[in-house]
Order: sequence, then C-alpha cells, then structure tokens
Amino acid sequence: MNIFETQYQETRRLLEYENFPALTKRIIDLTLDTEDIGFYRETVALLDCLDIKPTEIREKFDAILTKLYDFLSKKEIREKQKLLEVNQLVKTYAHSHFSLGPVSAELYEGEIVGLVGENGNGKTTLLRSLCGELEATSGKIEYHFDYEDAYDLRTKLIYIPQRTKDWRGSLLANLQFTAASYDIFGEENELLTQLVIARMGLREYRRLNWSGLSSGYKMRFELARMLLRKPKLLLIDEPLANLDILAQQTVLDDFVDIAKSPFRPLGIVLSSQQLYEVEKTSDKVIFLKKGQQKNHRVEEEQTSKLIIEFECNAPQEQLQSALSVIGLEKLQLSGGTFIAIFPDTVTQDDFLRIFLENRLTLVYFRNISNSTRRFFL
Amino acid sequence: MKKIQQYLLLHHPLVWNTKIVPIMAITLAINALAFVVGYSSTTFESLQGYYSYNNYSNYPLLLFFTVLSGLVILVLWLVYYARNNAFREFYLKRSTALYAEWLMIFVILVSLIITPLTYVQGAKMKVQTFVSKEKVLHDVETINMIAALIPTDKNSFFSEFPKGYAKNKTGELVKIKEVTTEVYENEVTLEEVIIENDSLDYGKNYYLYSNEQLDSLANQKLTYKDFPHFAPLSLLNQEFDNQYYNQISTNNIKIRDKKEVEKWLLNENKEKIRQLIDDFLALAKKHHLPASLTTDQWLRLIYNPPTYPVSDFNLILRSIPYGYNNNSRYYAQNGEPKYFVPYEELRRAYENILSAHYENENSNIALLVIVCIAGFVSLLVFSFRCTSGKTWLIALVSAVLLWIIYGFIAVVIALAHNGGDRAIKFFMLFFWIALFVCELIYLLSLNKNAAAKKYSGVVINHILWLLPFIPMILLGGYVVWLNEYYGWEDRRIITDWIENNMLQIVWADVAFTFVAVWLLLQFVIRRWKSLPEE
Repeated sequence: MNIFETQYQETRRLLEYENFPALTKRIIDLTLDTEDIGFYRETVALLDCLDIKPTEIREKFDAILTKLYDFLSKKEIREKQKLLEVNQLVKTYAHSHFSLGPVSAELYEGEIVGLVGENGNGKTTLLRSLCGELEATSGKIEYHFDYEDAYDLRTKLIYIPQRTKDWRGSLLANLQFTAASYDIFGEENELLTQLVIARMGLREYRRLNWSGLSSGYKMRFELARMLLRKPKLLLIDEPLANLDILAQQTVLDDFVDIAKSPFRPLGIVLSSQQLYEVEKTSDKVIFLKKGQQKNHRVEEEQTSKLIIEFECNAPQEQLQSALSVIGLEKLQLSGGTFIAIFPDTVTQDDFLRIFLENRLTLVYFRNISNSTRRFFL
Repeated sequence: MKKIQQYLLLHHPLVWNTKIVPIMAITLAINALAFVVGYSSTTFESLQGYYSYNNYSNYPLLLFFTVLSGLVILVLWLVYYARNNAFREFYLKRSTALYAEWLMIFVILVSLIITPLTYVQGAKMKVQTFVSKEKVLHDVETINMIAALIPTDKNSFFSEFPKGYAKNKTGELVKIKEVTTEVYENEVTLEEVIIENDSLDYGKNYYLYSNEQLDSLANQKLTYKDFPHFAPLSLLNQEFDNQYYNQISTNNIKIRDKKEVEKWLLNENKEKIRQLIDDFLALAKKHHLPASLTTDQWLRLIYNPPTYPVSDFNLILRSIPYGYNNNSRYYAQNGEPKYFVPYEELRRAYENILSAHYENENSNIALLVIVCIAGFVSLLVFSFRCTSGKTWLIALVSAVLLWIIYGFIAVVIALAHNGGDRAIKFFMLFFWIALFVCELIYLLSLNKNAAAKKYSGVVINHILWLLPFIPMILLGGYVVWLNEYYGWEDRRIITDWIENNMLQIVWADVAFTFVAVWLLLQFVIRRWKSLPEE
C-alpha cells in the first residue's frame, strides 16, 4: 500500500467515526491534490452544503471521497526529493558577539524539522539563513530543486516570522491577489481561495479585517496564503506561540497533512518552545544552545540513559529512597517537576513498577530519554 | 467599478493592484470636465484680452486646482496602491511585469497632472471653430496690412529723413539700408540691414516728443527734391514690423504686410486700399466689434496722396475705447483721436486663432514638461515600491545631504580658483555623473558577489532618481567642453543645432529613460532584490 492508499484509509476511518470536521479537512487536502477545477467545484459545493447542515451528509462525503480516490489513485506519486542541504553553516553578526553554527542538516520533501532551543540561541537566525534573508558567514546551503534565478529561488522559500506584517484591505482580496500572482485566474482562483480558507478553518473570518483577528487566526491566514503560493520549503517561526493547547494540536496536525501530501509534498522547518508537541510532529529535531547545534535526532540516535520527567506529591527523600532500588543515578527537582536519571539497563516499566509497589501517586510522567528536553537540564 | 475591480483581481492582478482603472476613471472625468470648461469658457471676447489662451500662467486658479486635486488623488491612490506589493513579498514577478507596473504608475501620474493641458486643448478646439484654417490666413493678412492705415499717434509716423536714408556731413541724403544675402545650412535668405556709420546723422529719437513739438518740427516743411512723397509726418514713415512674426516665421507662412500697403500708397492704388479697408470693417462686423468709421470716412482721412500726411484731423484710435457701449455714440475726450477701429481687439484675437491653427510648440512644450514631471515622480514612487519606506526616506535625506556637500565643495572650488568658471562648471557636472557611476558599479558588484544588501536600497533609490538627468548632464558637459576649448566659429554649428533641437533632445532623454529603466529592472534590480538582507 502506498502512502496515498494509507492516507485514504485513514480518511475513510474518519468517515466511519463521523469525525466530519477532520474529514472535511482531509477532503480539501485531497481535492487540492487533484489540481483539477472540476473537483474544486464539487468540494466547494459540498462546503456550501455543509453550511446549511444537510441531512444526507454522510452520503455526500462518501460520494466525493470515492471520486477523489478514483482520480488520485491513477496519479503518479513521485519519490521524495531532497530539498535542502546545509553544510557547516556559520552566521556571525558584525555588531554582536552571537554566532550561529556550525549547523549541518538535510531536508527532504514531506519532512518536518523541528527547531528547538532557548530564547536567543539562533533559531530565527537559522530560519532566516535558510530562506535567504541572511548571508552565511561561512558554510553552504544548497537547494536541490529547479529555479530560474536567485529571485525565483526566493519565491519558493516562504518564511513566516513570529510577528507578521499587517494585511491591508480585505483578507479575501489579499488571498485572491496571491493566487492570481501565481497564475491562478478566474473561477479557479475563486474556488481555490475558498478551499484554502475552509482548509484553515477561516470561512467565518474571511470578511473581517486584519486588525479584527487574533494572532492565532493571523497565523492561519498566513498559512492559507502559503498554500496558494505552493512553495518548496516553509520556514515558520514560533507558529504555536499565542495558541491555546487545542489550537496548537490542530496547527501541528495541519503541518503534517500539508507536508506529507503524496502529490504536493513540501518541507517544513518550524521553531517552537513547545518541545513535546514539536517532537511528536517532527521527523527530525535540531536543538540549538548558544548557537551551537546540539543534536539532530534521527532514528539511529540513542541516548545511554533513561531519563524520566515526572510529578509526584511524595517528598524528594522518599522518592530518592524508593527509586534507588532500581539504580537511580540522579534525582533533581525543577519548577515542581522531578527529573530522574537511570542507567540504560533500567526500563520505563521498572520505573512505573516502583510507584505501584510503593503506592506512590504519580501525577504525570514522560520519558525524555530521546527528547531535546534533556538538553534543558 | 467593484465588479470591474473584482474581474481584474481574478484575471489581471497587476492591473488590479495598481488601481489604474478607478484612478483613470476619476482623472478622465476631471480632464473631461477641464476640457468642457476650457471649451465653453472660451469666447471670441476672451481672446481679445492681453493674454494668450495657451499661456498657462494665465490660469492660476486652474493650476491651483490641478495641484490640489492631483495631490489629493495621488495620496488616496498611494494608500490603496501600497496595500499589496508582490515584489516586496517575493511573489512570482517577471521583469516584464515590473516594467509594466512602472509604466502604469507613469500613465497614472500623467493623467493626474495633464489637466491644464486638457483645459487648453478644449480652449484651442473652441478657438479653431471661430475661423476655419482656410480662412484665417486671409483675415490675418488683412489685419497685418491694415495697421499701415491706422495712424494712432504722431510719434510712430514722424521722420526727419525719408525712410532708409540718413544725412552725411555735407547735408546730403545717403541710403542706409541694404539687402544682404545670408547663407546658413545651405539656405539662402535675404536680410535688410542698416549700415552703421558714425559720420552719418540718422536723426533723433522722436518717441518722447510731444504732439506739439512734432507739429512744430513738421511745420518747418522738411522736403527733399528727390523724394516727392516725403513728409515729416506721414503714413509712409512707419516701420514695417510683422504683427504675427512668431507664428509666421515658425510655420513658413507667406502673407503680405504693411510693405505691400506702402507700395499701394506710393502707386496711388486707391481701389486696393479701399478693398483692404472694406475687408477689415467686414471682419469687425462679423465678430460684432464696433468701429466709428465707414470705408469712405476712413479713406477720406488717410488717402491723401502724394505724402499721406498724419495730423490731428486723421488720428484713429486702434482699439475700442474703454467703457464704450455698442449702442452709444463715441465722443473723443481730452485730445484723444476722434475715431476708433477695433484693430487691437482683432489683432489679439487672431493671434490666438492663428496660434490655435498653426502653433503647437506651446502644447508640445507643455506635454513634454508633463511627461518629464510624471516620469520623475513615477521613479520616486517606483523606487519606493522596490525598496521600502524606511529606505526611501533615508535615500531622500542622504540626497539632500549630498546636495549640501556638493554646494559646499562648489564654493570651495570657486574660492580656490578665484571664482574660476571652468573648474566650477566641470565640477558641477562631474559630481553627479561620478556619483551615478560609482553607485551603479557598487550595485553590480553586490549582485555579482551575491553579497548582503545592507543599505544598498538607498543606492537603488538614488540610481533611479538620477537616471533621467544623466543624458542632459552629459550633454551639458559636452557643451561646456566645446565652449572652453573651441572658438565660436568652430562650435557654432553644434551649439546652434542643440539650441534649435532642444525639444527633440529632451524627448530623446525621455526615450532613454524608458529604455534604461527596462535594462535596470532586467539586469540589476530583480537580481538585487534576491540578495540577503544582511
């Protein structure tokens, strides 16, 4: 089963579970994959129908899903190409002691790279360097896709900063202008912007002005505009900032869906302070500490310790005593959370067994052995 | 308009972005209004005044309105135009699209400031309807010649000697006018020149003499035996200046003038003179202008061969008396001439009508001025689009500083060379050329090395602003060099050619600017935009 088949089956399951909001998003994604105006019309008609809450909604979804499958199953799925190679990139500033690098990384189509680190450690510098805004002091960035000239390259690299510029005028007009600037005209333009707006959950907000939006919805409009530009690489700085926990998860799911499209994959590099969420979503994680790259998580990398982050109401002495039975090396308390370090012979189950045996109440725990969280210790 | 803009948004985003359609609709309406106002407000009476219909300084209110409305619309347009900038956001943008955007800015700006010209064109069209092109030359000829038969004052008709003669030391009359041939650029022209000789007595200047003084001199009965037609106060003594010199010489029109009338007077051709007076009075009647003379009365006053004397009895006022009512009778007051004819009114009116049919120079110059202003301002706007507001402001401030430095250095050079002309002239030209060349080289090297932009946005602004002036500065430098190193004879042909073709040279400069902007966009600016910021 290829990636499209897998995603299709997942989408079918959404229909079975009647998770219509998520299903709608996936249908829009598949519609965008078709790049066919006939499907755009059908899906927009479906969306209009949903607005008035019809009774035979399930049948409508089923019908369009079947058509999409018939169409897309015949479409060729390309092998994922390498997009970007960074080799010992260093960036220094003339009037600052800060220096980023050396950083090395690779990015393929359909991959999400998370960029984590404390404030002021070079995340934004790296993102801006990758999108061409900053000149490398040394090292190399190679882009492995076609472009006509330097300007054309920059049109394919979209950088969404943490604080975006205001949009002037109507939001819908802005999006239609973007699509038209990319040679999407007439009815196709109208349909595509409708789809993209619906995909990002912005249908109710499209008639508002920029100043009337929350920062979360502003970021979604930026993502909607990005979709219309069909970039090769998306670089986004702190997309989860100012979002509630549910919105964060939604946006991360959107990134996964957008990046891992079988027919229109793109590479995403995103920076965030939300470590666990980013690690869950990303294929690779780059941790920056004082501009230095600390790790680049791949499947082969393993740590030699078991590190558990947990919360418990028992006093530290009691926990020290209980956990030393299984070979606790270190127990530290930081901000109401305990970090316990064990040798790699100890397993997560061993840790949980101690709490059960000693009837200690475990409020929360997380295995951070392979998480960049451990670099914050 | 909303539907049109929506269509443009979905099909022609660049046209939508520049807002050229709504702006042109507004400016078209304003210009149409200006045209209609120009047309309807122009009457034959208005042409009789002391101004030309196509002299823009005669319309201060129009110019004020143009500037005010232009500024208001410009600001409004800029606000809407600045809402979306595809180039700044790194959308797909080919060089041709960038160039098209600049052209649209230019067209918008032309439409904003062309209102005075449109007004004048409306007036011109109305003026052309007063007399057809086929008839106007005949009427102008009539007015041109009739001046010979309107003795308004004695000073213009007084002469101590016959025309074209002076007295030598022995008291004999000698000829002082001769016809010479001039050859210029293979063209032969005849010119009448006055021979200057310190030993000759050319007669005094009698223009400041009073009528009584002139009468007294005339009563001395100055006569010369070889000149039976001569009298000190006579129609035959007036100078023959062509009333419509500019239009006639510019358009190579051949019409008769007072010289022809002089011949008729000398040959005592009364019929032709009568016909001329008839034609003139018919013209006055056609345009509802009063005259206090009939043809017979006029003839009786002036047709007195062989000397055609001018005296108090036959002075004629050349214009309609102030406050004269068509229905009233004219009574001369305080020594004024007893008669009047509407010569000045017709002359001024026909000057305008002739100009409307034959002269395009004023309109061409006005159009060129508008194109130049619009071109420069469009480059100001476009440079803002290519860079940013902050960079544009820094560029403006730095340009002002450069002017100050330039002025300071010029003063130093002037002092160092004791006000030496040559050094100053070459510095004035060299400074701006050198600045332009250095900035261009800097940009090209940045592009070649793919180096960071840093403050090069300021340079982009300067380059675009200086661009239209470069050819004229180079030309100025060439002229200065010619003047410094070549004698008058050697350089005359070139400098005369430059002077005679200045309009064409400036148009060529405009064409150069259009080409240069295309080249800059194609090879410099688009590449520059892709450079890293720092």
